Amino acid sequence: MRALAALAAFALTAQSQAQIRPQPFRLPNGLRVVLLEDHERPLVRARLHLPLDPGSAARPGLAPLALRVLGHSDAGAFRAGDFEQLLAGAGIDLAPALRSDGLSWSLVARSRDQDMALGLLADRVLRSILDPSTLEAERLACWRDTERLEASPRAKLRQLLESDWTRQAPTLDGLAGVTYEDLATFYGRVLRPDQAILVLHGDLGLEQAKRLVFLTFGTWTVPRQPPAALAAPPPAAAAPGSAPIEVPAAGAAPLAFAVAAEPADLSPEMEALLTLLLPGDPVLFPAQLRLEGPDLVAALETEPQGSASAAGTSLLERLQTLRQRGFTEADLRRAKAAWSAGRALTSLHPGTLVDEAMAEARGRAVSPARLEAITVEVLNGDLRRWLDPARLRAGVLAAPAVVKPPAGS
Amino acid sequence: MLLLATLGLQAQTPHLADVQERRLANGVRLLLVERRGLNAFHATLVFRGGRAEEPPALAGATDLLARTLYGSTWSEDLETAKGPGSLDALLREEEGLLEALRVDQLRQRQDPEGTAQGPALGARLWTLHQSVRARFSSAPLTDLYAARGGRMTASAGADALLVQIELPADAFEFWCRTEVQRLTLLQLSRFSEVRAALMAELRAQGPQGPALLQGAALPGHPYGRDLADHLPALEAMRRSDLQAWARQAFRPDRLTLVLVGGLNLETALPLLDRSFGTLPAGLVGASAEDPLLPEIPAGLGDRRIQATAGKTPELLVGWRIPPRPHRDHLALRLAAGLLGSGPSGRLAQRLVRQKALAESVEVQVDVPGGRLPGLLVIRAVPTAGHSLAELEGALHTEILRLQQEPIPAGDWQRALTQIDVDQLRIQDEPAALARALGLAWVEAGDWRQADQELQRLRNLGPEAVQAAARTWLNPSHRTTLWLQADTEESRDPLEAETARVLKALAATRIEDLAQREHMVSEGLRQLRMLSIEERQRTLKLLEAQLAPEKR
Repeated sequence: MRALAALAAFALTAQSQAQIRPQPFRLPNGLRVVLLEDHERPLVRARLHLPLDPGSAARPGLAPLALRVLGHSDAGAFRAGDFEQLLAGAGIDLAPALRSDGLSWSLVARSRDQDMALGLLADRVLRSILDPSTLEAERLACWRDTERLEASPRAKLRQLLESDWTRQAPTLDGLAGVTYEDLATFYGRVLRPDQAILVLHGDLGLEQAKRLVFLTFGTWTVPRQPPAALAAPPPAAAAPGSAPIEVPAAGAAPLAFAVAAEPADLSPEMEALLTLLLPGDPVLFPAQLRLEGPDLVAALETEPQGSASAAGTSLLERLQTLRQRGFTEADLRRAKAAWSAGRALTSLHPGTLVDEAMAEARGRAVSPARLEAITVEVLNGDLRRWLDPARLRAGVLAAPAVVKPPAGS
Repeated sequence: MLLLATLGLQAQTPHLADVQERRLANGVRLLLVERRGLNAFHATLVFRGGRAEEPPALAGATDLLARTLYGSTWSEDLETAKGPGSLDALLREEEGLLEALRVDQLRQRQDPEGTAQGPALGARLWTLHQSVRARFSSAPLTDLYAARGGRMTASAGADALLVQIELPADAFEFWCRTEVQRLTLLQLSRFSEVRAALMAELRAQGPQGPALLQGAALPGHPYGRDLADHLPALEAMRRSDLQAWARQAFRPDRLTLVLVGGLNLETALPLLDRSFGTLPAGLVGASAEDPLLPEIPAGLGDRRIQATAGKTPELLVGWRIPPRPHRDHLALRLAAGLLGSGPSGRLAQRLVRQKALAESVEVQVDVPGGRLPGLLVIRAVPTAGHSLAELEGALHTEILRLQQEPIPAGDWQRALTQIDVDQLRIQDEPAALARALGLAWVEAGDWRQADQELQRLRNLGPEAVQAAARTWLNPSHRTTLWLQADTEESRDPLEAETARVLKALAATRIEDLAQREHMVSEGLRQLRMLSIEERQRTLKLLEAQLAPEKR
């Protein structure tokens, strides 16, 4: 009886998985599309991903400013205000996101509004003719974002330790230096259909999806000659391994932060295992460690009368103890089992299905076979690389009396 | 056009998922939504009560329980071993030491020359903490849910504590056992460190606009309580106090389990009966009733406060509105949707885009909760070069327009569409569905309200929204907060002087430093509601009570 029930459960699972098997296709302009056909869903979800080219655009403030201008420019089929009204009129949620690994837009709409929703997404992406007045207004808005960040000492410190260049707060000089031509170069190099991936999930069949994507993105053309790369200025954030940054904060208990950027060549399987193993490791207690995008962020708060520098030293010591201790075979087995079991949770989150399909299309999906093949030696080797003191950026937050302001502020 | 809009909504409004309801013998309610084909489940535990039902001496209890009881799931916390050397015994010893330390600190404040026991007590506490820590596994990934691929989050609200857990379907029986064990033992092994972290957060965050507004708009009511004003109570709270309160607040009849996912009632119910059904039902009679909460005085009138905090000025306006079961509540939710609702909302269109008076505008309803009369709050940040007064004037013009001018069909359709999309999201996402059902039970007394509100929406026209706006969004229900940037130039010298005099006065009458600070901050909060002239007169009166050398 029990075996029968298990078999029935497996059949049901297999059936539901089979229903949403990814169906890839490509437009003549090079746009890669992955369809997750799921007729049970009342909503359609889409994500468009465009990789960034750090060599041509690694200038703090350029990418966020470019994204803002794109979102507020009137130079598309609709004026910016009308565009917002159309989105709201159909209850369409369209949100941009920016990280060093790419620029993306996520879209959620009622199934019956899928044509309009994709049309609006295309309008936003193809809105690459610049309106100079929008550039000036958004330059100011970007600077206000920086000012707001600086209002919170904690956010300011975290920002100073940020390794992702797309998330580093731009300086006033940096923003003022972005020209109309820089933006045009950015758009010319980034907004290209032959580099883009679109994932669609919801109540639409393959032929319907092909027709819809062709109608909305078919006119998106590849530039014959992409603009030359921009010269990247040196990074503004603290260099790894340098002395801890100190940020004054009146009335706050001393807080130490340490941030380690993920090694560029870390495999998705290793990232999945370390994401499970690192947060909550008892060696770190009472420090907290979490993953924020590609960064490992460790924080240690002490008593109000405690010393900020002692907190910083203590945090770094804990991280190095963890690095030297490493993980055991049993830890690795537990992490592999947890990862396998956790895959079931994907079915509870329609958005995660889109994430996974996008990761698969970008070659960043976790392969169960490769994950299973990871040995404890490889795991500990990658842990040591990630927590290498040379990769760590550290900083402390403490009462003004005991802190010197950071250089350049 | 309006008729068409309403009909359109009617045609597409989804029916709430097929909810199966049961009640266990001890009073635990169960709502189960079966989603075939899912090989995982989402469980929300909804404990009715929340911050609003905390007695003042236990202010912060819901937040502490969310962090200690539901912060993680370790096997050591689920062990039943008692007696000397057990974890429970060590934690009781810790409680005694913490209390001795607190009393010693109070004694030191009264008599700085006296013999301090603090260092010795601190050393014993440190040794004890090492013993407690040694009882826990030193291996990574020891959280029982994380090790099974699951996750758990808990959030403390004004009306309830919500715990959301997701696990693979085959861990359902394990989940039942674990949760019952957690509620039976109420171990709270991380109580002291969690309390210290919460207090540090409250101290670091400084004055918060929403808390100031709530305090002024809902005086004397638990909805208006600011936890930052209750640090001494938090410091004095013991683990055993929190356990005793949790036993009362987490009674089975105050718990609803909402399950969504690859489960069916036939197999789940016997397991739930054998686990959650064994939780003791608690006392029957008066003590099982919900606590009586104070009424908010109706005639508070139009209130205004000014404060300095943060680096940017901000305008907060709150109107006292009726609770969720009230007939006008839904209309006010629609009114908030018309005003707010992102960049296409009226306020964003008029104040941000057209008049460029505000950088951002945000509208919230049911602040801090919806079970009792709460607030509809509008927060706006003025653009550089525009004053809070200008922004406030323009905001009130928009409120008047909503009350008096016909609502354009496009605006009305957008508000209805947004509700339609929100409902579809609830249908689509198990966590959102479980939360919506749980909150409907907590706030409206019945999970079916989540569906019935949609039925009522069909019969609601723009006139009803305008009528509700005229009744509730008027000056007699209004509280306005001008939050000025806390810069050197903006610091209010009158408030600084008042704080100095209040501190000096309090020092002559209250020995406990923490209580003294609480008294001063509460006094300043109340004085902010007075006009400048009244505040100046009050300062003179207070100064007169000081000894001449301290004036």
